Amino acid sequence: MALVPTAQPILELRGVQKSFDRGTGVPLRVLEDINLDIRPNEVICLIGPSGCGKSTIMRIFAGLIEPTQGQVRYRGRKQTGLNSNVAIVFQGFALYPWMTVEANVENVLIAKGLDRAEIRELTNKAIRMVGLEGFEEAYPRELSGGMKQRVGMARALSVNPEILFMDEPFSQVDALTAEGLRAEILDIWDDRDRNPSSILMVSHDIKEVAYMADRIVVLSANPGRIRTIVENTLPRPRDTRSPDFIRLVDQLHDIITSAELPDIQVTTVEPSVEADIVEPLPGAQNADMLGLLELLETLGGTCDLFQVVAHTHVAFEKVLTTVKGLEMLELVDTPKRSVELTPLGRRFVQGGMDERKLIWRDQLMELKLFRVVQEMLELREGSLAREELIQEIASRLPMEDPELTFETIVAWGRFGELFAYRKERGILTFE
Amino acid sequence: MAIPGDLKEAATSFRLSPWQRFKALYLPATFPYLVTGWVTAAGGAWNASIVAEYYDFHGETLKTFGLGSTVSQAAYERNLTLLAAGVLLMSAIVVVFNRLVWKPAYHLAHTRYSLTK
Repeated sequence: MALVPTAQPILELRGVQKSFDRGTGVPLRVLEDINLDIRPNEVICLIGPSGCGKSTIMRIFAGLIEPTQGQVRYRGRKQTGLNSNVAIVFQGFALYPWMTVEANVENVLIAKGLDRAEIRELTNKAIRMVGLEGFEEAYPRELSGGMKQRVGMARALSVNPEILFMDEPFSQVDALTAEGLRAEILDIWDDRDRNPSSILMVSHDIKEVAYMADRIVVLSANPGRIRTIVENTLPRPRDTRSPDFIRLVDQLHDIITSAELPDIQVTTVEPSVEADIVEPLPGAQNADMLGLLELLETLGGTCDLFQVVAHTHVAFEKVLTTVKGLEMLELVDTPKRSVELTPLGRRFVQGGMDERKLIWRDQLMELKLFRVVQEMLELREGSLAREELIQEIASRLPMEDPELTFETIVAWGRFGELFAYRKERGILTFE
Repeated sequence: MAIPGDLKEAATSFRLSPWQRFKALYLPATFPYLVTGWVTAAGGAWNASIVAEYYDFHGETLKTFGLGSTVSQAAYERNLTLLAAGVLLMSAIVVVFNRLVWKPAYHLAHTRYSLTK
């Protein structure tokens, strides 16, 4: 049997679990049993809804965060502390505003303890690589988002990392520029004679991962788990309009939506029977939910989920959260990949403000969590402290962020005129 | 305002030494607050030194050579010409110092060392 030396992964996570102590006594579990490797010469992308821990996985790989359980291995050996063979490109650029483009790059080379001449040479090389010649003396604030991220890329590439880590690198860059940068970074990676050998990228953009990745790791949330890993064998350079590419994007969409919006409905049967289950609330905003209902109404009551994204220019994740919220209130249904108004949803959009509030209130009271809040309020004679409710939420929904859930309860409850909340006093009351 | 977390994380991930981290991150990030502190402290210190240069203690006068003692002595001896000249010179020093030191420092604090722009 032949031993292929390159088959050995560069970095591995074995049985990694991560919890954060939130100070509430109930640790928040963000990652559960993660086994993942980064192989030589590959682009691997992590994608999933917010709260799936994709950035945390990247930080554990980099050694910025220690796992609560499990192991990180670099070339087969246990890794402790920072891995000096990786460099990170940050979502928010993380450039030092008081340093010029050149100084931002030089700064990380100084940290490597190189001498003056080497620093100059490597800085120039990195700046050339990302096409920033002529901008050496510019300050980050004078640059556009795309140019700033070029500086972030130059800084990361200057230290010649074996693996380049990119944390949603193009989410703050305009779409057209991002397209160019993706192709450029793949060109740099494609050169087999030099680093980076591999790229690990976190993304929330399905098209982006289909374009970039050899392997796509789809994560699910609460706690973060690997749902599936999709091999992407489309030849490079990839044409985003080719039928194969579109098929892959569709397949990824289906995987993600089937995980986030399962077709099998439990709540529609007999609300009173399984009424004791407290379901986590999606952090959907009232305005977004109302907006989506109006949009559906103008589109004749139904729309493909991705058409919604295209129509509204709102991030996929946010649309998903909004749809989840509406589905919970039984105002929309989600057969396969489409969203459609339920008869109740239709009555809601067509109704006046009073009718809307009435329907909303009735639907809220179908949710166990809102009944719990109401019972607590009655018990406290109409004046419930924020801390007490947050404690209750934390104990009933240990996987959720209790403060976010609290905010959603307040926002939804306000719209239905169920509760009022005075922020300065931190007291929830009946409306 | 706190130093943004991603700037600190970048410093950690690129392994900046504690001294480099201070020079490249903490000192520049706190520069706007340092300037405000310097202005306040410098004003207070100058006031104190002017008072301290000329001091009556149990009928005995303790003094040293300086602008503060000259002004105080002129006031004590009712030498109005000298007093006016001293006060004018003091004001001139304050104005020149503001123009040449504090104003450029504030300008830098609001432009290069601002974390919000």
